[in-house]
Amino acid sequence: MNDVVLPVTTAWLVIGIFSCFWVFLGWWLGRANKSLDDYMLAGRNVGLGLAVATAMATWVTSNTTMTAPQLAYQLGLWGMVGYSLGAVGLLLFAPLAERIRTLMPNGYTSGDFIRLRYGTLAWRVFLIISFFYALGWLISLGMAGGILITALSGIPYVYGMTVIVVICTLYTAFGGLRAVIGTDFVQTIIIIVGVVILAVLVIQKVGFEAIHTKLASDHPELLSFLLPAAIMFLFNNLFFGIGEIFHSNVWWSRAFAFAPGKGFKAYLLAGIFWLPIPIVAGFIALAAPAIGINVPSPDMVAPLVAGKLFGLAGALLVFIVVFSALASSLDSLLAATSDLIVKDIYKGHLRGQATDSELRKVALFVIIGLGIFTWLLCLPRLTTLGELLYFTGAFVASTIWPIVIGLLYRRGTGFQAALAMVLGTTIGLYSYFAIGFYVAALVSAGVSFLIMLPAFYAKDTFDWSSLDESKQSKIGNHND
Amino acid sequence: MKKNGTWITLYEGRDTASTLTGLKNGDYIFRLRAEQGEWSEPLTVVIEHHALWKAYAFFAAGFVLFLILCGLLLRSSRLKEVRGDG
Repeated sequence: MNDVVLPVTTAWLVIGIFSCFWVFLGWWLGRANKSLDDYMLAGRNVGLGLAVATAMATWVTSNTTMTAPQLAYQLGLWGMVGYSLGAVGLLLFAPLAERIRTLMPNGYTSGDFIRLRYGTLAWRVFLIISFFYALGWLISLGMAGGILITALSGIPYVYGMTVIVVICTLYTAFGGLRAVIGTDFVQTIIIIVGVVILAVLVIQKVGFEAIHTKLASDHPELLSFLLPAAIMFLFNNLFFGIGEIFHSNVWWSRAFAFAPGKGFKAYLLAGIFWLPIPIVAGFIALAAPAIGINVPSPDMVAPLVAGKLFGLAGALLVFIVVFSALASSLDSLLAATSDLIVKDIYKGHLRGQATDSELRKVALFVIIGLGIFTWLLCLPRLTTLGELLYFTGAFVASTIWPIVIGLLYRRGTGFQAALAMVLGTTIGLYSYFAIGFYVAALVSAGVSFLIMLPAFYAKDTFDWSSLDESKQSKIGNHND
Repeated sequence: MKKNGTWITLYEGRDTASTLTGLKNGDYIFRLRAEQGEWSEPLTVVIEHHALWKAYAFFAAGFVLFLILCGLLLRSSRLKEVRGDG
């Protein structure tokens, strides 16, 4: 893309204002943190309004605002609908969130659950999957920030990427999960209002009929409900989303952090509010042919349409919405991944005797270290790293059945769970290369299901009370 | 791009890349040139979508897995007592 719409000074001014605001808010919200529970889990007492906002804002990522339009442009109507099925992950997690909170009132991470439910082997396999996914997501977010800022304003990639990573690391380190949730609330409002304004403006300026006529003549398959790749993509994206949410500590830490009885409603409402966002964002992309713009790279189609139609104001709006979407996910991922490192690696593998105050200090350094690590990996701007996220579909979908069966049934062994994750991932990755990115998660979930199937016919062996570490004598419990 | 025997212009400008989507199965012929330059040799691109039966097979597998998952979760929502169930 050769033409930039946003003047450099305007872009820096907006970045400066938002950066100062997020960091101030993070510091201000973080003042109330006293204990490890406060810092890592916002005191385990998050109310419904903040809970809905944080679940929704975190799920609206750069992928929703940039990739949903891309998929609409590549896969047409099914691409748009298929992406919105990502909401199903939030909806289905609602009953599990409630159950997690009840079964593990003192839990911290998704790793805690796998360790206590399935033992060490499955725990380690799960941690590898979790870190691979978290790293892929972190890198794609950091890179997306840099690429967006460059595309709209011409500011060099490294500067844009550095700003977004540094700002999110700073306010997450200052305020912990409380800051992440507080900023998510503001970011949710910005995202919803921004996306709705853009869609209304596109309809007013271009109109449904012009969009439909141009698509029918030059891109007929985008209007077809029988586009094969799009049909395959539908359930693949659904299982990718479910896998992401069911396994990731981003969502588990929220299940632990929401006040008792709030998890179900919070995830349900977040899913309902999230559902239309990709459809609206995707619709913007379908206007591209009607307004005669060239699309050099499909992931930039939304900013291109906004910039072409509304000039400076459109570019500014997209900039603010995507900047908010990126920040709301990057901070959540930093906090949740740091929790995994602190609890599952540092305490779980290195220093079992670590006290809460020691863990609190370690958490601060881990967040900063993770921020620096993310920045270093984003520096080379390896475009293939952006595609890393597609790979992760095969990884995360393999965890769905071990988690669901582990949470609902007292059956299924650790070896079985580990095998389901390893084989699901391996065969899912094979299908990624043999068929396409649009089947990897589905194949992985299918294989994982077949491995876990015998668990339904096994005897009940697991004791639910062993999930509540506060009731265990000394076993893995050094919270004093 | 050649459409119905006639060349039509897809893009004119400074971009050096373009993404085309939503085309039906078939052979498509493209050519390009620099401003004031000569036309390149025509390039034929063959579009061949996956077979529909394959798409339906993945769709059906996904649908069945999804129904099983929903069934399990619905069952869980009826569980009042968390200890000793399942």
